[in-house]
Amino acid sequence: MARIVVVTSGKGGVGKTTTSASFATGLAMQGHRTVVIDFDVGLRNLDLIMGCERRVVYDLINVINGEAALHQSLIKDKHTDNLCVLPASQTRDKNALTMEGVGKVFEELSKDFEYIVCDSPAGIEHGALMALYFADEAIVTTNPEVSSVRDSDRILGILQSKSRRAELNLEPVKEHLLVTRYNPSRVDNGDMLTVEDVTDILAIPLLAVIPESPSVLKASNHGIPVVHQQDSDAGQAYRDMVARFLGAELPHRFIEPPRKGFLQKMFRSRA
Amino acid sequence: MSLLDMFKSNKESTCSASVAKQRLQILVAHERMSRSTSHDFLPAMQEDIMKVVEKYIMVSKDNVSIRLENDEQHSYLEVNVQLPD
Repeated sequence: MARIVVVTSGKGGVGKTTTSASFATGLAMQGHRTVVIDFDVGLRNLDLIMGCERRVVYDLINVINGEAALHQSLIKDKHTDNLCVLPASQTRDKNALTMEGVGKVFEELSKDFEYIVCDSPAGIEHGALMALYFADEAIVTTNPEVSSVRDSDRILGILQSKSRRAELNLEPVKEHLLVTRYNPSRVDNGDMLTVEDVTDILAIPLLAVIPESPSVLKASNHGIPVVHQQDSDAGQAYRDMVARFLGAELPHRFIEPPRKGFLQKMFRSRA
Repeated sequence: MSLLDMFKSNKESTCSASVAKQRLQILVAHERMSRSTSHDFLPAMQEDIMKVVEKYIMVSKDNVSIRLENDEQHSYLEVNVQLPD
């Protein structure tokens, strides 16, 4: 049986798609057969971040409606073995995502893949609920910022009450906190919530901290998930995240600001 | 600004992150409480209360309101029955 992992947040723009792309790629790089599914019907973007936008023929809704076979809609990733992308529909109504249809797709995918990564849309509407309903584990993507933390808490409430595991009284969805767009210098200045602040408030285990990094934008420009960039801090942080998810114990990196020299300290207050 | 000030941390005066944390802690605690106090039973209870009231007094459903409210320490159940003239 495949493990179903939803990447969720409530709030938009916090890095769900970036995370879904790099996390799924990272799992595949570790040799796990992985499929990443875009649930953002009408506003798909995972294909762009994965760099396969010109190879989309059929999508998730086509499969649910029986207009295409599952294998026709899966796009094999060009950069990584063991990895497929299942794009969202750009035109259809999101209500076409039926629970029965999504369940069937997961059942079929479970035969061929070890991990099914679901890129949730923002919000708490139908599409987001469908993305998290079948989840075994959830990666709650949060920026160190008040509205994102509040929305993440809301999503945790939904995972605990509206998921399949909650409804059937099974073992609860395993929750992981992923703090993204972390800026250690601003944290040091007292302008940004610390990782500890966020973990205190949300009270779920921390999986990883992804630093705010110019390489994320560069990676999306090229359509190659940032996890491929060996020399990028965000890329390395995503590799650590995948390793920890798979059970490795690694210290958290990129949470300390770059060291400043004496002169820089002297002049900081005047800058 | 004295020379010494340059070496002092200016965290206390400008630490907006600690304000953010305080606000979030209060808000999240409040929102969690209203989530955990399940309001699902309210419509059924309203039905039952209506039946009892109707047994003795003629009132329409519109004249009965039932609300459940929480604050930090207490939960209030408010039943308001508007009696006919």
